[in-house]
Amino acid sequence: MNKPSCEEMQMAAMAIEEGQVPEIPGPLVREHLNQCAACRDAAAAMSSTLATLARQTRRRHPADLWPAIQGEVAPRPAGAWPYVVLSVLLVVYKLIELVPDRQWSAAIQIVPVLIGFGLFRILRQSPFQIATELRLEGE
Amino acid sequence: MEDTEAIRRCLSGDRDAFGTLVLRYQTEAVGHATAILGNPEDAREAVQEAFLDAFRALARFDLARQFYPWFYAMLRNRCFRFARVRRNCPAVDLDTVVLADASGVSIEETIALDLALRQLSPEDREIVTLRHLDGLSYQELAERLDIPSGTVMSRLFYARRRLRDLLGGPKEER
Repeated sequence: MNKPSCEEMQMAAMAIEEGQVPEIPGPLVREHLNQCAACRDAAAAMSSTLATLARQTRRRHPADLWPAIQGEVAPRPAGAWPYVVLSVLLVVYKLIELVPDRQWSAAIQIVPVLIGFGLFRILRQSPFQIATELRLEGE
Repeated sequence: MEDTEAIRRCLSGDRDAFGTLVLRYQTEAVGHATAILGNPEDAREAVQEAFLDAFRALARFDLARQFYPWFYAMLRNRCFRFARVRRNCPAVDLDTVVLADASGVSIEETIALDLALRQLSPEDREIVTLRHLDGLSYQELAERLDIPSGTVMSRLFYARRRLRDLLGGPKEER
């Protein structure tokens, strides 16, 4: 191992002061501090800075972030465009129904089923399902 | 409500349960963000964004872990992103931003230290305040900042030395 530099010695001295175990053995650090005035002064200045910091507490800044966050995390209703598409489909279907002598009646029968399926997907619930979670007011 | 319970409820669709976590940690988070960013207004914005990040990532949260250290990783990402965009110069005012008025400490000393802290880089300010204002151990700092404990030692050393220099301590040859 190379001889540690003054900076490494100061770092080790700081760690020892805080109860840590640095790579450089404690006796070697103490011996260096006894011999090196610059490191001794630096370590003393560091101790003084640590003591100043130890007397401080963090300032509390009041915050009320939930209303804004709540607005962001709330589920958003689907936009109007799916309803527009379904309405257009329904109108087209009705117009096609008005055409006389149409030959593709079997295929066209499926359109109302698709519209119904689309509505179920948009609403994400079945209108025929009984909501068991509903509670009367005051219950 | 415990954090884990709040997260479980949130994951099962009760979005308001997330409010429990926000209300519990927002002040602490704003304090931490203020220490990194140097001003409480940006800090509030960063904390709000970080909570939204956490909400979106909640499905990946390991319920065996603590919420705040996990959230803190997102918070510091947000803060450093803010810090890169808004390189604010520390305001020279007579009010403190990071430090509170503490008993037994003169207001002049607190203001001088607060100003010196604000002149540090966000990274230095973060590690110094987590160590001294929150009392995190080296091990906790290593986990919180996701760095080896040897790096904690060196980063703390250089951050404190810069702080000491700003406070007017003896400067050394580097």
